Amino acid sequence: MEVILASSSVDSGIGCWDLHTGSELLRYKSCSSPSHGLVSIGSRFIASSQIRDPSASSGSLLYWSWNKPQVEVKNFPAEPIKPIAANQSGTYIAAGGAYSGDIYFWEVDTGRLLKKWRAHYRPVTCLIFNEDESLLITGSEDGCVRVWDLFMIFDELRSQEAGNLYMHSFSEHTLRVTDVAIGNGGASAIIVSASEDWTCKVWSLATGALLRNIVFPEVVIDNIVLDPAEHVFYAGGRNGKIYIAALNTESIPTNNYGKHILGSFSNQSKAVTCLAYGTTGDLLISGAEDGIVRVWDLRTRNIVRVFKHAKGPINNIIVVRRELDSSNQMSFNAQTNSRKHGSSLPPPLEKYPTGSEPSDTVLVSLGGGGRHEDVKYVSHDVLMNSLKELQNQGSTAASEMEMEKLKHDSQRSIQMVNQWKKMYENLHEFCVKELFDGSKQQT
Amino acid sequence: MSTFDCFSNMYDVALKPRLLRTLIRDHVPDEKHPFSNTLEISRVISLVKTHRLLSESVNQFVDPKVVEAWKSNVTSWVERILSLLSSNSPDKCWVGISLLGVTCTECSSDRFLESYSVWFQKLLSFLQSTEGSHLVRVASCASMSDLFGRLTVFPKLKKDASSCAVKVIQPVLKMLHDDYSELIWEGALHLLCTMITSFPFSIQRHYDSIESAIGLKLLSGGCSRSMLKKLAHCLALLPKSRGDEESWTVLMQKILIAINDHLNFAFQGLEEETMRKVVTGLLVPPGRQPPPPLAGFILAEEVTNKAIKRSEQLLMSNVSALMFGCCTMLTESYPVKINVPARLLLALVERILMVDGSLPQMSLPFMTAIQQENICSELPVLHLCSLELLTTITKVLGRQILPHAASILRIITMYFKTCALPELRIKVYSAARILLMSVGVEGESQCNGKVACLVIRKSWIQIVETVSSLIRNIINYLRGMASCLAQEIVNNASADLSNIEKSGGTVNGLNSNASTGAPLLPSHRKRKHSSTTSSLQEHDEGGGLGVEYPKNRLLTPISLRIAALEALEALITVAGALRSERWRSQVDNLLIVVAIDSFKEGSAIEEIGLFLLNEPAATATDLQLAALHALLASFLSFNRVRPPYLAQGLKLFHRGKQQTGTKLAEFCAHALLTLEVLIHPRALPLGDYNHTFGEAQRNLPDEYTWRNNSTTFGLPQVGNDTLNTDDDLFARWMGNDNEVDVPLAKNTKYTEDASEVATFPDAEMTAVEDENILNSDQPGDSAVQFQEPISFTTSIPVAEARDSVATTKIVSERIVSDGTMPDSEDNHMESGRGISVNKAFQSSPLQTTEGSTIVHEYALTLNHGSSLDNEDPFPDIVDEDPDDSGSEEA
Repeated sequence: MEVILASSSVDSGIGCWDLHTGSELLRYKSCSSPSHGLVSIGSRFIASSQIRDPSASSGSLLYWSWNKPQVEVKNFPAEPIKPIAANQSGTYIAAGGAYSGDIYFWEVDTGRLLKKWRAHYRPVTCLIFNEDESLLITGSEDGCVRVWDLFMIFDELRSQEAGNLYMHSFSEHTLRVTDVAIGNGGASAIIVSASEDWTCKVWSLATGALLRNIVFPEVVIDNIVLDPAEHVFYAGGRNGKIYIAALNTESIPTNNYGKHILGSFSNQSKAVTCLAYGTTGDLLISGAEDGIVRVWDLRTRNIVRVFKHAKGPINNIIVVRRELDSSNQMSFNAQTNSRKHGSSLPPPLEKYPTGSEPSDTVLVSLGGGGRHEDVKYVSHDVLMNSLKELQNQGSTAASEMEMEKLKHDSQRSIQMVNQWKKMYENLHEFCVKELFDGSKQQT
Repeated sequence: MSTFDCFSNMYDVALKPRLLRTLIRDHVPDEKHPFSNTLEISRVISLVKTHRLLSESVNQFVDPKVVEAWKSNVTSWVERILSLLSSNSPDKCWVGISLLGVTCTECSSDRFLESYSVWFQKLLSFLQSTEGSHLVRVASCASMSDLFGRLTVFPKLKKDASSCAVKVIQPVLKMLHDDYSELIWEGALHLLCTMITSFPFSIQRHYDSIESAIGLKLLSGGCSRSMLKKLAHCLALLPKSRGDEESWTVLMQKILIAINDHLNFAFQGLEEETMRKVVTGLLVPPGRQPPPPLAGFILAEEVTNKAIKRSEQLLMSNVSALMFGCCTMLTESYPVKINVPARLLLALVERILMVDGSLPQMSLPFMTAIQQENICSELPVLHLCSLELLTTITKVLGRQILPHAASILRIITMYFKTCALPELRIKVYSAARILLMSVGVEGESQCNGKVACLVIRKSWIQIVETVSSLIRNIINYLRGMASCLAQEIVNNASADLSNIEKSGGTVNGLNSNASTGAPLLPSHRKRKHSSTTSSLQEHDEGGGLGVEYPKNRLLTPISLRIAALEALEALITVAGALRSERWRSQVDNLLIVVAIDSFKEGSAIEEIGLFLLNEPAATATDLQLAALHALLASFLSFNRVRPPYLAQGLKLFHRGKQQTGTKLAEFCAHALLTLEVLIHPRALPLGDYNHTFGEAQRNLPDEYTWRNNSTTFGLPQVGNDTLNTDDDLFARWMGNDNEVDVPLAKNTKYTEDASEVATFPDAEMTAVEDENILNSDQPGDSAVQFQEPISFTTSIPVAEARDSVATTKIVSERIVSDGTMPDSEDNHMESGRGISVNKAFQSSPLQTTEGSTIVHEYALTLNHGSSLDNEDPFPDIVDEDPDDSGSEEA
């Protein structure tokens, strides 16, 4: 089932709805997340960074398991965390510091802080993994969008050799970057970034070139979602409109919006604060400042569902597939029940890196974790083999050769015997002769 | 049943009891009749299996009499088997046991449940008895494991079955200990594996004794290699019976310690101390007690003493078996998550791969030539195992490889430089491929470039330094080898054979590689006529002349070439578009040449494949398939220009498709389907944005009509497609410059313009930042929008019509009309300038003079309009080529 999760910057928990039936599921308690601060870790559990007190020097990052409304694990990183991102399988969490512009990179299952590096001059506002999880794309308050090659980050030698860690640094935005998105296509993918300077920009991952600059009519775009075929992208503006901007399609210069903007749809709500794409049924889910989640059918551009989340502005919406995880969850529970923790969630994240050495061990589930294999019966094969052996007995080339060898051996032995015999006879003759001669002499 | 009581057909249930009865009566031996013909038994079994004679599966429509008959016949079958079991003669016993095993797997659930305990007791008595022929014991092991296999189907019986299983373990262990036949061990091991995976509780009490029994067998030597592998496999499964992390970790540690001890002994004087210390330090972390050795203390002592006395060969076979065990442990599924000691394993692999048999300066006096010889003879096997382990680690870590990717890459690159044996190279290729796939796009950065170079370099000559010349060598190597093979086979089969032996037997290949590489170079130069850029034509020519290649070249095993191709494919897939300029064109060239060659030389290589027999897996067809796979990847990863060898490639795919029924044809059909998208690119909107918006908000009704193919201007919609697809068109235009009405000089100018024009949609897309200019730009812009349709249309009226109605509305229509154009080359808006240029080329022959002048004029206005604000080249979605556009501006 596909589930929508929504959180808000004021404490109203994490709302959870089944996207297709519209029924509300559990509401996870005590969450006030910053923008881009809500992720589902590999569909196993939910994690969110927290902003309770903006002036506090320490922040927290919370875990909820799917079946309990209470916070299960509290992490206290070295500094407050704003945006977080997890890779698809939920093995790594990347997070941006709220003050420093550092990026933290944790291994989820062990809680180890694998890496921490200085990414931007100002705090990181958003970060995402690319499709194959080898790159991290970050946007910052300083208007900079950077692409990080994780492989490079983890290669001590090469990163020392190289002048800078990043692969690309796009600094064309003049104000705070509000959102970034990356498309499919491996090395040929495109990156779209939105900024408070009223523009969205499209970048080429392969060359690092600015491909397109889309100026929105005096409106800040806070979030963007790519159409899966990358035909267009949807941009949620602070004026409550969701704009459709052209990527892989013809653009129409004569409209009220500006170049590359194909149109917009809105329901006169307040600012659109977050967008998500529902993969089954091509739904666009938008969250607004008025605390309402709207689900749009992208074909007709009509609202098909409305969920009321909170009074305050929603600032995160994610869509999670949970079909897999019901079984996953069970096996996960089953396996961890034996552990002492009693909790199905991994241990808290570490505050500081343990050392410069790469970790010695990697926690993995081998071979897909206890799949049951089909029974393989052998007696038939064994029987057939034995039969073959029995049939072949005496006729094989090997035994023929053996035969030859034996014949040869016996011949040689016979020869030998004859030789010995002859020698013996000679000896005998000789002895007899000697004796005979001796006795003759004596006599 | 009377003589004429016939049944309806071969599917009739009534057949089954009858057939079974006949079999029992005539073919299954009994106590009285001597058992002579083994063929009869196999016939009985095949009939039983084919007709499912023991299944007793009937539906309710079957005559109850038939059901009854069948039931009684099966009962008599079972009785006959049981009577055979109690026979005195071993062969009848053996037949009985084997048939009982088959019965266990074939009979109905009811019957099985009813009588399994009786059968179990019977089989158990055979397992326990110490006498009896080998065959009887082997058969009883097999039948017993099938009985347990069948038991797993009934979860309800789990408890009962476990208690039965416990009784089996002891006799099995005894067999492992006492018997001296590998056949019996094999049967016993299989039975053990069944127990471990299906009835783990039965193992619990005997865990340690099983471990030490297998460990002892493994380490004491005297087994064949395949037996060692089976032992290692069983050992690796053992922790599954407990299913907790600890037993896995401990066993892994024990195995690694055993490997390490062996290596310490074998590598004395052959390696630097540092590596050894690193591994040992990681094996037993400081402050922790090492676990007891694999086969228990005393046994281990004994074994190591023995081992020292024995040869290095034994050491190596032990190590390789143990490493195989490691791999199995890593790949077998396990119920809980495991902390895989990745760093330790990598260090171990590195340690082994670093040893190449050369003596460090300082240790010269400590090693005799014979010792060195012994080690070197076994090193390839060892390297092979460790490469396999490396591959396994890479696979197992999967997405979590990040912290270790760098060291794996270093190991691979390091090893590429030295490795020369074909078998080893194949492994390295596959390791590199898997690494590429798992590290993903990041590989794009130089690291992949590096691997690429290395992937390429390794097969060839280390002397040459620049990447380009390396790749050219590869080209020659790959292709030359094929032709070489053909020639050899025609001329001198025996010479061929010796060649093969040579290639298989090059030990420590650095020297041999260099020496064989040397003759390769000069001949290559000769053929190349000092040309630096290797064009396809040249290669073709070379391929044709290839028969004359000197004979003294080493033959590259097909499997090695396949591995190389696969590695290249992986490289292109992952990093084809990213920073690939340096190697890309050469690799593409290489691939098309290899693919073409594979078609040419196919049959000849096939023959030698048959001749060889020791490489049954890799034939010329596999090579061909691999070549085409790589070729397809290379085509699809182009995103800025048309793949230069598309036409040739398509032809190859078409040719391959005609070989109906082969894998090749299957793949070629798939490739053509895939390439179709490249040829007729399409952007797939979710809805019709322009339509809905146009209708609802912006009143662009014409658009709708256009979309329905009734364009106001009669623009033939198919035109786009035909123009795009026709490769000949491109060639014709290139070839027949003069035939075009436009004078040559103008023509060249036109092409420039056309390219300018063609890029403009991209410029459109890149939206100049300044809005003011955008507005003032409008006329120019609209002109731009005209350009492309013109370049596609074939009729003057169209152009005129456009000319006359140059309103913005129309403009928008035109944009729409050729809207697929910018997107068309690639689904992901990667339409590059190069592609657009190509298209302009293609279409232009159809252009009338008038049309082209219009184009020209508009292009001029365009230039005029854009020169103010667009000093910079307009970046393409994917590609930009600053030089190019710069010159155009000028």
